Amino acid sequence: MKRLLNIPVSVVLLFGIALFTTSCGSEGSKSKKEHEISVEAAKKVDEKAMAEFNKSKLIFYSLPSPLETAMLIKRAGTVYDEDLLNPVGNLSKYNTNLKKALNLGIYSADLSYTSLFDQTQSTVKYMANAKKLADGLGILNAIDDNTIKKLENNMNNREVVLDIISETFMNSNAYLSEENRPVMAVSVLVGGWVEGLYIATKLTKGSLVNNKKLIERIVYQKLSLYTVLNLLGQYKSNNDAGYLQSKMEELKVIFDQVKIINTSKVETTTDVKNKVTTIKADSEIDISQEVFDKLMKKVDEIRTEFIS
Amino acid sequence: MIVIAMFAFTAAQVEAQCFSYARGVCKTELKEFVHDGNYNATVLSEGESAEIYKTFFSGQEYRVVVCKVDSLPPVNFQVIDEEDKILFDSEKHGGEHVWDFKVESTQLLIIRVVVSEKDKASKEKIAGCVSVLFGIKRD
Repeated sequence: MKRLLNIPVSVVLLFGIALFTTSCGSEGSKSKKEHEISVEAAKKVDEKAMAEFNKSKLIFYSLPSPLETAMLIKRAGTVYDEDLLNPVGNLSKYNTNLKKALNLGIYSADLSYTSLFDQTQSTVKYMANAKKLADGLGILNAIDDNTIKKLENNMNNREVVLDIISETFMNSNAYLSEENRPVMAVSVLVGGWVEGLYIATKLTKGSLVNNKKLIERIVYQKLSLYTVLNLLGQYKSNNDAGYLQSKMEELKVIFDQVKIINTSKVETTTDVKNKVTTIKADSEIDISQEVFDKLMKKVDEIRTEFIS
Repeated sequence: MIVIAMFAFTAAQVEAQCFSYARGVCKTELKEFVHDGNYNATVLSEGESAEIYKTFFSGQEYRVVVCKVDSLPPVNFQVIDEEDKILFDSEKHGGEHVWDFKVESTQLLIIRVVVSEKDKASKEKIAGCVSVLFGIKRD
């Protein structure tokens, strides 16, 4: 390791460009302008920060993982509904790398959801499907037989189960990145994200008022959609990425009609004893029933296409 | 051809070591927080910086861990909001590499990581693995 760390920077930069472009759900670039999201950049930076800002820089976008998405759904006070999951029997349909990657993400989201609701038998079944898809994509050792055994042996220990899921997701993601298959890595993330959005929207049963917390979670996925689009935009010359981008653009047309308004400045307070900082800011969201109906329909349509 | 093969092999080796480092060393710093499963690690050299854009959701408590291999000079990180307001600067907290926080309303934040330089005039720059991992507090 040490030997490698001392190679001249010019060589490292060449590596860096190659490696960063493949890192887990992220992209590398030396140009910020190419990657602007809806954020107006650098207005209040001081001189020192600006000096750093102007140096060569790499930009990454991190999507909510299937595990985080499932946690958001659970913490919104929802109930478990197995009928919403992609049936395990659909596995045999996935014959292309794109379908395998998308559904690896989808099954990862499903198994995260089952585990958080302590549906252990289902968790094992979905993990087995995720393993088959990972194997099909040539992802070596991301999920091995020991993983399944460990899962079965700890079915009543949710903390261990979550750690296993997190580990397997990281392994798959890192492997695809290492093997220079960034589009497949991004496809897994997109599949997981769409599945989370599908489960969340379905759980509302079309109502904007039954579970406002869940609606809020869904609305704020508008921010994640920017991340998805930026990620995919890096690889738009690739057919699979281009296809996914077109699907996400369809979602964007609807999310553009959703309003998120920051009504106060961001401030921080720190609980010194517990060493936790709270970032305070007020914001308001606005979504009409009509727009929500359109969103539900579009998410359903895209997800159906992915799992078919 | 041999040079290209060696180059590819070395690049793969560097990346593999970065993954081992992120999983074996950095992830342990998450402790009671469950890792979200996303792998964010790469090789950075002195003076380089990287930014990660991520949405943080209200109601969750997060831990961000920024790790670097021993041979690299100090790595500082800042957490910045959409208007480029610095919400946390590790340099002002004794070079802390772990930060716990929660957001009252969902926010898109930027984690900016900067590798400091031992000798700015030197052309020889050290490079090494830097990893940024996110954890979510368990119930």
